[in-house]
Amino acid sequence: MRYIQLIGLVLFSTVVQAQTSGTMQVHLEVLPRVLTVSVSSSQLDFAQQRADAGNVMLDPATGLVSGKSSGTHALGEVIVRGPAKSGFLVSVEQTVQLRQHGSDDGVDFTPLWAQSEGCHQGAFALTPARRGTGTLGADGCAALRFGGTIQLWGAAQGRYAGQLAVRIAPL
Amino acid sequence: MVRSFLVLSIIGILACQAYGQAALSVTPAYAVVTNEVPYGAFTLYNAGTEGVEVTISARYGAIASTDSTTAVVLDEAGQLGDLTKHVTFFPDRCILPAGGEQIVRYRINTVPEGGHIALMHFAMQERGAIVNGQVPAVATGLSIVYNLVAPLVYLQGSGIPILTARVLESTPNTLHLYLESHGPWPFLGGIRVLQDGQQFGRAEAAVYTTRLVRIPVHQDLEKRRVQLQFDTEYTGLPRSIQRILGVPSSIELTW
Repeated sequence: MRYIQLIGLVLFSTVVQAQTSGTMQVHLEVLPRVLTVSVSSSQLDFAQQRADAGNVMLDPATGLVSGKSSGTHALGEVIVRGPAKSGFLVSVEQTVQLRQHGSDDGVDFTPLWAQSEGCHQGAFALTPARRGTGTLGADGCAALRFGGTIQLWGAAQGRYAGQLAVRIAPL
Repeated sequence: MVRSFLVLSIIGILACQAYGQAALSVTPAYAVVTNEVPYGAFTLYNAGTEGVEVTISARYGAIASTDSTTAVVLDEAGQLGDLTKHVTFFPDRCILPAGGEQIVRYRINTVPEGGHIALMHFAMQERGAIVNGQVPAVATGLSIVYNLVAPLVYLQGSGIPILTARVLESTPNTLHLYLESHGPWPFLGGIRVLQDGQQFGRAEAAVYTTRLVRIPVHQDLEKRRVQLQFDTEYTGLPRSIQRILGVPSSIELTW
């Protein structure tokens, strides 16, 4: 009930002349759709890959990573809540350069995201555009997953790190 | 009795070990202020079970559309001015415990006439780190910063938005429009679809630069000719602001 809040409650009452008379006026103002974002995971990890693994995809719809990897991979995940069936915007950057600490070596990362309409179903659908709109389910909830692709063509061995900005706004 | 107690204890321990989450909301979802009252506040609330650090920043940009999608667009906002140069806010960083609330106050300094915009970013970031150790090949780690974005619009003076529109698609239930603003005044309000003076549908939209609008209509628009009329009633927009916002001229559309 935080989405629709009572902004002003103005009570006008004249001097009570009798116990049965009185005037009450209530002003209600509805605030615009407010979203609540819960972070389930803010770490996105391709696990360990061969330096010549080529195009490696961490699919946000299936949760699977292509290519042979060792270790545990991880997807970014958030839950968005708001009024049922309302729309919201999601924008992510086109590409992000992952950098090796202390060197100029880099790996290009292209983000992808998927959403499930409602939070009680397991199916995620890949969103074709990196920037786009999502829709909250009938339960007023949507789960978003973030993955992407990296290009490993003879990359130097080591750890690469970067930061991805995801922007979410009511539609 | 002892067994029941043991089972309950184990459930209790498992519940305590469950993964906590922060859940951030920002109210209002957008704000429009004028030179008469050039200040306001956003309220941050963490409805989750874990604390969260929130970093607040203002970026120039707008919510804008192409023919097929609507998105947060940074560093451009058509003819709307850059409000980030004129807005001050406090705090720019806070830690919200579970159930915690924080008010972020802002004030607009002297600004040239016209409409100006900033996209307020409320960024949540976990403090994760890549695990150190021996690496056999290539390991990657990205930290994701989730931003809740709230447009902050400032009007210095008043003026009438200049809009153009075209029909992208018309179905028996919906009219898909593409609206474009050509002036320094944003449009926030209702768009009514009329045919021969009869209203067929209405939807609300904020047009800062360009915007896709989907208007539900209750009858098929067979004549392929409509008039768009505008009003300034927009959910959550105070009446004092509605009075200042100008109403664009009506638009005749055929397709």
